[in-house]
Amino acid sequence: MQLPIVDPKFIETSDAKTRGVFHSFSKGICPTCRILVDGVRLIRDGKVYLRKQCPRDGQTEALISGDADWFLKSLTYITNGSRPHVFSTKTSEGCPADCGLCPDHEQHSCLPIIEITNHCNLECPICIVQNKNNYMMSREAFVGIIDGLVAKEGGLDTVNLSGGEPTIHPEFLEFCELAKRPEIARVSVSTNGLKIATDIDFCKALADQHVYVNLQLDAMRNPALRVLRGGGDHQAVKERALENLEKFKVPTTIISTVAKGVNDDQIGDCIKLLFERDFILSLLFQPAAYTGYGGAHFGPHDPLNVITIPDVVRGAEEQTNGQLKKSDFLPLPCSHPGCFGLTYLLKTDEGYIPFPRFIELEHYLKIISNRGTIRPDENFENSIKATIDQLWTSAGQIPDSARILGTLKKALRLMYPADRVLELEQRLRIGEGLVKTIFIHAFMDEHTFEVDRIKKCCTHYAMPDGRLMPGCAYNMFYRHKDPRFAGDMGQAVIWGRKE
Amino acid sequence: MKRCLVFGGSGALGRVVCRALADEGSRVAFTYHTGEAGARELAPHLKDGLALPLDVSSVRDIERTVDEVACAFGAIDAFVQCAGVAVTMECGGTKSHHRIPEVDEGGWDRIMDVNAKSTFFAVRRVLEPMKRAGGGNIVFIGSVDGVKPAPSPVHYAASKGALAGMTQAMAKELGEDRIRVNMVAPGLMDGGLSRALPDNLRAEYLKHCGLKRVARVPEIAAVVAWLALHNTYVTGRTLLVDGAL
Amino acid sequence: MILKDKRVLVTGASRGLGAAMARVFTSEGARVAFTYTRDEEGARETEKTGARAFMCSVLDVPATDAMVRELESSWGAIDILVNNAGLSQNLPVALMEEEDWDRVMDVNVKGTFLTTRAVLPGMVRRKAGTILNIGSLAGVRMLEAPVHYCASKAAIKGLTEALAKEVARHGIRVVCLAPGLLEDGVGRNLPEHRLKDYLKHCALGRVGTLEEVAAFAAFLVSDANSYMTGETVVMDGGV
Repeated sequence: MQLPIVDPKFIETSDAKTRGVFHSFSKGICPTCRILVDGVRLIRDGKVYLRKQCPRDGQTEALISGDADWFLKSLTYITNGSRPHVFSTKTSEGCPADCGLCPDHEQHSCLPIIEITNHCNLECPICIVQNKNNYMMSREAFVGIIDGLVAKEGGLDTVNLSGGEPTIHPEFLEFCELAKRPEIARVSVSTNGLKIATDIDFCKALADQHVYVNLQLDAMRNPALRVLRGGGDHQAVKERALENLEKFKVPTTIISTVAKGVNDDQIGDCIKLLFERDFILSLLFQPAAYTGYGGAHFGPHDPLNVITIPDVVRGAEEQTNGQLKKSDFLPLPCSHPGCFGLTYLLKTDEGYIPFPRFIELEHYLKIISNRGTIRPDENFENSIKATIDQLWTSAGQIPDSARILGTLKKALRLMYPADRVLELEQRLRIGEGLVKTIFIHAFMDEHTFEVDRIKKCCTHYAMPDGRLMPGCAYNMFYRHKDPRFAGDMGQAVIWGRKE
Repeated sequence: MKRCLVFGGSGALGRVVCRALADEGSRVAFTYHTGEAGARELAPHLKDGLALPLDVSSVRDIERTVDEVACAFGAIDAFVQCAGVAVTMECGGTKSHHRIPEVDEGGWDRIMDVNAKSTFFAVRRVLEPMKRAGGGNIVFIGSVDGVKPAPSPVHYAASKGALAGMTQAMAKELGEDRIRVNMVAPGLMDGGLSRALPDNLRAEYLKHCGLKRVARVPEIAAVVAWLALHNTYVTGRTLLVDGAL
Repeated sequence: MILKDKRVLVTGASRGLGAAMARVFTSEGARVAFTYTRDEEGARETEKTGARAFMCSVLDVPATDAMVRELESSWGAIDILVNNAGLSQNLPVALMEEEDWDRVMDVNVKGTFLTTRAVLPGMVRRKAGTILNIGSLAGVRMLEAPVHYCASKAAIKGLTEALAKEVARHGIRVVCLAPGLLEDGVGRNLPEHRLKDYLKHCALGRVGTLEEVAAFAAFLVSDANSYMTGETVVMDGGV
């Protein structure tokens, strides 16, 4: 029996496309009064929006993903988190009021951040923290944090020193030394590069101490830089900083905060920089989060039209003439898929090839699994073996397989020579010479905050009292009441400010 | 100064092993059963040594003997098991090679008791004094029989094979106590049990032996002594000393 | 002094086990000569133990012959040959090219054969001599190790047995020493998890030291060990 054809007017309303399709429930905060409110995620026009209803201030909407396809696919990358060994607080009021981590938290600290000062020598309009210029961490507190991290995590890939501007802490170099532990593979510092550019001995000291530098570098040219970072000839400073870092071969990550309408057309330039300079190991794009002393007031800002992870990916594809493709980028499976995107690139004799092009997804995910950095352990070995076998037997079905095999063989010869012992450190360094990464890390602000994302956060601020605070929660709910920063604002010495 | 216990020290091989151990400055305690004459001849050559009568078919006697030595020496660094029986002794010295139908239950038990069971219980008792010494070496004397396919009485080969199995399993278990267990499997020697070998088998051996001669007892004893006194990393192995058989 | 007055040639002794053997053999009373190819610094170190250095690849037949002639002339004879020169490459089969296979098989197996062939005539003439080939546990047991390396070490075992049979009638002994993982051997870059797994299955729970392997090697080539030939002795701490 044939079913009657239903008249479209009964199943599709005329405003369907503009209303959007319900995807899921969420919980966020009202951007005005900041209380926890219910929300829904909607797919509309190929993008994903978070619509929230505040009993006091009414309905608001924010763009949370610029590509519904990416968003939907990324949800399939949810894996079991690697749970923390130790919790510092109890769950009582519920997320995000019990941070410390509380037992409801689902991911250990992949990347602990230690803010050693809230002094800064810039006043970036896009700054997401609150620099009151009245706190320098004591040596005891710092050592206590390091001890605590080692006790909680066992082994750490990286410990990050941040702030404010960490390089203006009077004991900065000592702190780098104190953070050197056999359990900690790398010590990194997030900096605006001013001291590196102007103090060559300091730059050399960083090199001698094997510190990894995360250099703030949003764009190559002043106009965009000034909008994001304030007055001053930033371009010159950044160029000088890069020069000095290259001179001493300091392993460097470039961090570019990407804001819609400001520097989203310079994504390709940053990638070009990554490919061209050996000392630059990776590139981190941070879609702008409009929170903190700077960001909360930054303009232009239209919450419905901001940069999200897939927008950076699209920018990478469009601005490298297709050298990179959307399919080369994947969400990081260990934290919430809405927070990170990345790709690894293998350096061959004829250019960079993204890992996902020659490693099967399952193995790729295994390698980066809960860490986001590659470690030569059993998982890695099995996955590389499987990859080599597959490339070898693929008989040309995977493009460039011979080239990739050649590079892998070279990597093996360098990293596992039969006639010389290598320390893990040396091996990591060799690996760094052969592999580069592009990360995209999306922070949340009052518009885009979602409770399910914060639960899987792996970027934690480490407190002297032993608590670990998931980054975005700390930025929005705890920083302003951190007793260490209580009191009046200090006097700031701002570079580039026109008096 | 190493403290060594040798079972069957009065035998043709045992005697030379004891001398070799003593020559390197060890204190040697050995057991003897029927070889009293050999024991009496050997004893004076061992400085501060001990000679103890022991029938290894009695587990209780074995344990008593080990305890006595452990008490006298304080601890034991090396245990060498040279006491063994070949089948032809069963038949009162006639040079015949026992084939399967000729082995009765008593014959089986006697061979297994003397060669395999006694070894196990001796080691079991030696463990404590050896651990007290901080570790040590245990050496069994086996035979190419039970290791390489050669015409041999089945129960004899079985008992020697049992030793090989024990060597491996004991090595695995005792490794964490720094006790190493190995076996030396000699080919034919010019003394000892091989004297009773039928002529045709002896000729067969020489035909296939690269060095075209039987071993001189000191050559075997040298390997045993090295393993007992100097070995620090070989364990779980059977060393064949057979002139390229 | 178990090697008193023995004249010993060791191949590949600028470092590692070879250098340890040169040192230990000398302390046991032997006169030692050794070969090396590239490691000048290592060779100088080994020379300090009293050994004489020859820069000579085991694959270089004329140079090897000249060295043997020189030693037989100045020493009178070579009593003991230790074929120790060998190498490995950490490669899976998929990345193993013909040239990689050849390199490992050539140095490890052909090199042993060529050096032995150069030294044997002297030993046969005098109806005396001992040859020690350095093999590996990897050539005896199934282990996760590079295919060409394992093949080469298994070949050494076979070579030892066949050669022992053939030269026994001249009173020449041939023995193979097959160590497991050592503190400074070809397995030195094993990833941590593999090393841990190996040690888990090793009764003594540690890798071997060069010192103890060299001490055993000294015994194996000594006159006291005169009835052992054709045997491959594994020294692995009970894997």
